[in-house]
Formats: sequence, structure tokens, C-alpha cells
Amino acid sequence: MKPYSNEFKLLLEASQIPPSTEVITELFNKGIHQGYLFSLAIANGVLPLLYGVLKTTSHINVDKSFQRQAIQIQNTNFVMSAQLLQIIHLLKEKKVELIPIKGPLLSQHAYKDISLRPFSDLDILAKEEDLLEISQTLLSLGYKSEKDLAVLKHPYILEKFSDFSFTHPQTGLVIELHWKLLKTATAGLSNIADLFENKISIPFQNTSLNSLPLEEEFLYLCLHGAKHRFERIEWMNDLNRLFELYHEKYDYQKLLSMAKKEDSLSSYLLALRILHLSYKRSISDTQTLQLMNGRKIKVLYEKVFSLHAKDYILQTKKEGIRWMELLFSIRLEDNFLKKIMILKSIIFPLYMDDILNMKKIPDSLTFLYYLKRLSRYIKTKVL
Amino acid sequence: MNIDKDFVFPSHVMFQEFDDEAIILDIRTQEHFGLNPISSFFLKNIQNGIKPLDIYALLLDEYDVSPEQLRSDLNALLDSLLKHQLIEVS
Repeated sequence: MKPYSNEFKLLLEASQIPPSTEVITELFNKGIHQGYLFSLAIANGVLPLLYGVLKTTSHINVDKSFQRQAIQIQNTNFVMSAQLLQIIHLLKEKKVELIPIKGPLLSQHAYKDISLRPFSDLDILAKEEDLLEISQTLLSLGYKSEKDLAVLKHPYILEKFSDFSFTHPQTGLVIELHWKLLKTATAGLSNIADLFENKISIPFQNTSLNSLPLEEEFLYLCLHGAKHRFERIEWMNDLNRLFELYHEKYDYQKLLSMAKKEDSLSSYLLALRILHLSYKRSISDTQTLQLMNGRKIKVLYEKVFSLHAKDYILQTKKEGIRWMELLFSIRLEDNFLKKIMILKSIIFPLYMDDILNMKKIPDSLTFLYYLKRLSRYIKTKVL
Repeated sequence: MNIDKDFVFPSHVMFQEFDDEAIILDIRTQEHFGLNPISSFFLKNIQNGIKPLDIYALLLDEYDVSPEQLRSDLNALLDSLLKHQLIEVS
């Protein structure tokens, strides 16, 4: 298997808690291409973290572009955090609750600093009954939605989709309003009422924000990272930072049970194997340790390793079906029926417009949406 | 004099350092103000729960400025922050 480049090794070392100055110096002595390192750090979402480590390593001269980019990310994160707080403040006045996911809250929660973790949009989780109120608030702040808000009242759309985007035409800021944590969630993570009931509070600037319960947050990030093949180091770092803070508090039996209920045991175990092997984390739960050494998890880990080694994140992705990604998703999925569903959703994707263009049809006729998807496939691929 | 009182940031205020400068922002209006290194140092310590008079003493040690001038500048800064509801007496 192709080994990691020195630049990738450097990013991984800078991500450790704490990073080793000796290892970093040794990697620089072996030879680091700063232009390549810069691109790799941005693509992996670790540039502010890397810059913070390198600027305190006195004998290393870092190119000015690192500092400029770190400051730019810091500014963007500040603006986006301020926007998140304004939205929460306005909704609080209307007695509407939400839970920010990923973004500024994760940066503050896991890294204790909103500047260290880049994010490109704001994700907020809301109860279905609050979606319209939240949407109206976003519109009042100048955000635009691609589709009419009526879609948020459509039961089939609420069932089949998990989020709805808003964009601010002047600032370009994107807000994703989620009513589900995962499109495919079937158990604990899909029970939004429970998530709100058991939410925790995280200090943020001079206030505190709602956050997912600890185990649910950890599992959600495991599943999210695995879904994206942990292509970016930032997804592994998020878990490592949270693990650093809470490894003694996590209830591993609860995590295992939740992962099984979501048919996502492999995703969870893959994440733990990464923490164990790439971040030298010891897993105290013997059952978890045994499971994550299973053959399937080893194969998945090797695949993630090889994607990192060949800088898959920097490669230009082709349009259309990406077979490697599809195969990874199918291999990762634990439930056979869901493997079939993955194939179906890639070949016959369902768009909101499919549902909207067919007007409202009775529940008993929703199978017609599949015909619509089939007809689109024939039109685009065959005719 | 304001400098003799204790202050905290209200929950609607964000304060963030950028190297040796900082920004303070009212999340309700998104109105924000850039702060010079001295103001930034002062507010960072306020955020950390240090009393204004103690910060005043630290600044006096650090910078070549007369006690009267520094006291007057810090009072003016606190006046302005109070006026914009960016800080409140604890």
C-alpha cells in the first residue's frame, strides 16, 4: 500500500493532542513542499490548526499564505458565528428552539476556539412544527430559498428529505435547516423530540447554546465522517477532540446499541478504529475493541488509509456516478435492504421537484414518484 | 468613574481577538467595532473576570503612558461600550 506523503503525515501530527515538535521538525528536515502542504491543509480543513502549530515551532519559516488564509478563516468563522447567534436570539424571542450542529458550535465545543475549525455553512436542527417560523425569520434577515416554503408542509418531502437550504444573496452565507439528523436515520438519531428533550448546553462566547446529547453528537459525527469516507482530516479531528474531552464520560454500551439500531455499527466501529490507530486512542470497552478489529472494519480502514495516501481529497471528481464512493457506501452499510436503497438512490435519485411537479397525490399513490424517477433516468441515460 | 466598577459582557455580545486586535459585536444588530491593541487587551481581561483597576495597573506597567491619560482613555472606552450596550456593570 502506498505510504502517506510527508505533508499528510505533518497534517496528522499537527492534529495530535499535543503535537510532537520533534516529529514535525523531522518531517521538515526530510523535506516539505509548502505549496502542496498549503493545498492539502485547506482541502483537509486543518489549515488554522496547522498554522497555529507551525507558528509556535520557532525554527520553521512558514509561507505568508498560511497566515493570510488562517486570518481569513478566522474572519469568516466570526461572521458566521455572529449570524448564528443572531438567528438564535431572534428565534428565542419567538420561543422557538433549535440545535446548531457542526459549524461554530462544534468548533467551540471540540476545539475551544471558533477559529480553529473551518466551516462553509451553518447547519441547524429544528422540530418539524417550527420549520416555517424559522424559515420566515431567515427570510426576514434577507435569506432566499430556492423553493417555495410550502415544501416544508409537504408530508412526503418531510419524510424523504432531511434539510432545506437558504442562501443570503449579499453575503453568500448558506444555512441548512434540518428536520432530521440523517436522511437514513431510523432509530435514536431520528427521534428529534428525544434529541431536544436530552439536549445539553455548551458555553459559547458570552452565552450558551443547545447541543446534541454527548453520545448522540459523537455517533452522528462518526456516521457523518464514515459516509464521506473520512476523506478530510477535520472529520477525524472532530472525533479525536471530543474523545479527548469525553472518553471517560461516554457510555460505550449505549453507543454500541445506538449504532446497531441505526444499522450503522460499521460506521461507528470504523471511526473508533481510526481514533485507535491514527490518534493512538485506547478504547476501554472490550466488546467495542473486539468488534472494531473485525475483518470488515479492517478492510474499511485500509480503504480510508489508501484514499488519504493518494490524496483523493485533492483529485478532481468526475461528473456522474463515482463507483469507488458507491462501493464504499455499499460496503459500509450493515443492512442488506439499505444497500439496495443506496443503489436505488444513486441510479434513480429523488428530487424535491419530482414531488412538487406531480402535485399532491394520495399516500396510496406515492409509488408513482418511482415511475417519475424511472422516466427521468430513461430520458437522460437512454434517449 | 467607570474604571472603579466591575463589568461583564452581556449575552448578546461577541468578542473575538484577531492577533493583537479584536472585534466586539452586538448580535442583535450585527453592529460591530474594531478595537486597537490596548482596548483589545483591556476587554480580553474583562472577559477573563479581571477587575478594570487591575488591568489598568497592568497596562500602566506595559505602556509608556501617564496614569491620568490611561485612566481617561479607559473611562472613555467604557463610556462608549456602555452607551452601545456592549458591556454592563456586574
